[in-house]
Amino acid sequence: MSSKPEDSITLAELLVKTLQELLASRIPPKIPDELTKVKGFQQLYSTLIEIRSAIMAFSTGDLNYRVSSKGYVPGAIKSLQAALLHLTWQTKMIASGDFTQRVDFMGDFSESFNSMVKQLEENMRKLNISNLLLQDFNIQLEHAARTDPLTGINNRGYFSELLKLEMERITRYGHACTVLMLDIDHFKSINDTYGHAAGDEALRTLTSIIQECARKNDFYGRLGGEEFAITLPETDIHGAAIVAERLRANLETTVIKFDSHELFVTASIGVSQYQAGDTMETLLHRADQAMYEAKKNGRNRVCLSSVG
Amino acid sequence: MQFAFRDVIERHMGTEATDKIFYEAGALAGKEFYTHMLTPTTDLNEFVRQLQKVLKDLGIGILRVEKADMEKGEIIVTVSEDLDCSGLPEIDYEICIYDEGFISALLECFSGIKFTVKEVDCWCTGDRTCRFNAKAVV
Repeated sequence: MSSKPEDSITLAELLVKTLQELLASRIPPKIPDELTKVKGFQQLYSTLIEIRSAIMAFSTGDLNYRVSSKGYVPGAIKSLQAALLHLTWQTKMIASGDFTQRVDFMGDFSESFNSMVKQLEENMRKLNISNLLLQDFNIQLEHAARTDPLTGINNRGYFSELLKLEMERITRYGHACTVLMLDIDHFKSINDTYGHAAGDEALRTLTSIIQECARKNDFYGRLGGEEFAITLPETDIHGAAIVAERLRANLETTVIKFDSHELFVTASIGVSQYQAGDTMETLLHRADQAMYEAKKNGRNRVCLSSVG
Repeated sequence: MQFAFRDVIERHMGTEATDKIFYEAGALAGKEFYTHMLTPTTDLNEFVRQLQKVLKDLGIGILRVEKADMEKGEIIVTVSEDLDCSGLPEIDYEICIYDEGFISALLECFSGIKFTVKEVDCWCTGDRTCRFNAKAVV
C-alpha cells in the first residue's frame, strides 16, 4: 500500500512537533505511535534525550553524568564535561597548595582563573612571611615576658614559675633543695653617689658572678631592685653555704669599672633548705629572713636559716 | 603506519591478539618513556605536571586529569589532540589500544601498582577528546 504525499507531510509535521516539544517541554513527550514506525527515530530520540539529560545534569552541577552516545554533539558535550572535570581537579590541587596549576582551555575564564591563582599564591607567600614574623615576634615576646631587661636573666615571674615546678618535683621525690636570697649592700648609696648607671653596672656584675658560680641545673633570677634569688636543686644547706660563700667572696673582690671609677660592692646572702610541708612562699620567706639576719649582723656575709 | 600494521596483524592474528600486542607495545613504550623522559617522583601533582609538559612539548597530546584517587586506585584522564587517533575517520569503536598500554605503564612506573586502562571515549567515535579509565589491579 503506497502512502499519499499528504500522509508524508502530516508525519513530517508530527516529527517536527515532537522534536520541538522535546526541546521546549519540561517533561519529554511520548513518542507518537506513528513515529515509532519511522526507521531510526527511536534511536535519534534516545540520543536527544541523553543529550538533554546531560546538559540538564551539567547545569545543576552534576559533572559525572555519563554520556554514552557517540558523534559530534555528544562529543562536544563530553569535551565540555572533560574541561569542567579537569578544572575541578585543578581547583582541588590548588586548594592543596599546588599553585602551579593553570587553565588554558576556557577562553576568558582561563585568564581570570590564572590571575586568581597567581594572586592567591602571592597572598599565601605574604601570609607565610607574616606567620614567620609573628612566630619570631611571639618568641621575642615570650622571652621578654620572662626576662629581666637589665641583666638578661629570669625575672621574678619566671623564676617563681621555675621554682614552683621544682617544688612539685622535690615534693614528689623528696630530694634536697636550697634557695639563696642575695641583696647588694648599700645599693642606694651607690646610686646616689655614682648615679643609676653605676648601680646598673653593679647589678650586671653580680649577675655575671652568679652565672659563673651556678651549675647547669641551678636557676636564678632578679626578683626586683638589687635582690636576686638562686635555687640549687639536689643541694643541702651545707653545700649551698659553700656556694653562697664563694659568691659573696667573688663579689667582694670584683672590681666594677664605671667611667673613671673603680667600685667594690658586697652582698648579704640568706640560705634556706626545703623542709617537708614547705610551700614556695615559706621557703623563700626563710631565705629572706636569713638574708635580713646577714644584713643585721653587719652585711657582706652569709646566714643560714635553721633546718628543722 | 600504525593502523596499517594493525590491519595486517589483525587479519593474521585476530582482533583479541592484536589488541594484546598493541597494549603491550604501548606499555613497553610507556615504561621507556617514564625512564627517559620523566624525573621520578612520588608526588602525583608533580608526576602529572611533568607528564603534561612532555606530552605537549612532543606533540603527543594534551593530557588532563578528570579524577585521581590513588587510595582507591582510580584515575580518569583525557587526551586531546591525541597523536594516536586525532584526525582519523570516525568508526564505531575506540581505537587507542596502544595509548591504553602506554598510560598503564606510566601509572605503574609512578606508583609501583599495576593498572589496567580502558579507553571509554575516542576521537574515532566522534568525541573531541579521548577519555581513559584506569583502575589499579588488586
